[in-house]
Amino acid sequence: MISTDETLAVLTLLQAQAALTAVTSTRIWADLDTPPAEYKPAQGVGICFKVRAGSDGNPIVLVHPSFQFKIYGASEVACRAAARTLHDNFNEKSDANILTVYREVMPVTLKEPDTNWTFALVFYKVMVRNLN
Amino acid sequence: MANGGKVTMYTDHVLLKVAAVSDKALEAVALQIEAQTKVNIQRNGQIDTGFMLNSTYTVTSQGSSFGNTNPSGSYANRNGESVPRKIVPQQTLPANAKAACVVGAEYAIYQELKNPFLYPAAVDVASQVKGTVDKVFKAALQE
Repeated sequence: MISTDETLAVLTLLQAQAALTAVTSTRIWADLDTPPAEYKPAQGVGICFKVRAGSDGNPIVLVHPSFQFKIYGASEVACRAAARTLHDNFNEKSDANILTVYREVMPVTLKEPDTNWTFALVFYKVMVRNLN
Repeated sequence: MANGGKVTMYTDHVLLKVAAVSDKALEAVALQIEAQTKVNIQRNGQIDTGFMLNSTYTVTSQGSSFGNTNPSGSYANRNGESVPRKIVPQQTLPANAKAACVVGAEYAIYQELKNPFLYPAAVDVASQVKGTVDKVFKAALQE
């Protein structure tokens, strides 16, 4: 059995959403807490996501990781708008590796303590197919 | 009844007992999450002053262990420097909740995002919740 890489599965699903990538361009970063050093919010919306925890299904034909998303932008309004775009193009979506996605917590807006950049924080549970 | 016996149903009493035990079971679950959260903070190496770990508490309909947390103030970090630390005001239960585990240090969310400790604790405890609830119910039935 080869386990599905749940982070790669989510990245693939996100990158397939044209309405989302129209906003983010290539600025969707997996397994990062904060954007790469070259990023500045003025460049446009950027999304960092990573697994925070999860559980195996029983049987483990599905696994249930929970992902945190930090959505950066030039302003709080831009961050929240991008969070809605993410939601519209991620919640309840599926593909060959993902059965479905649902939001666990509504977006909240925070500021990075080090840079003072604004970001919207949101969590999604993803049901990943584990036996392809 | 055929043999002349009598059965009295105390349904309301049973419901009250079950409701009380349910609250107790949820309190036990929240306390387990608090304990596991503290273990995770230690395991993740997220202790500088110890303030965040000691800002973790449980809230139930019966009360809160907020009083056991450290107050805002200056604390010595690992380098021996005095650094300011702040705890957010005591949290109350949301209307739809029976128990909660709170990490009150105001910077806790940023630590959680870097290296989660609270959510994994909830996931871990949720996987064991049947055993916890069973223990509480069995104890209550023996009272």
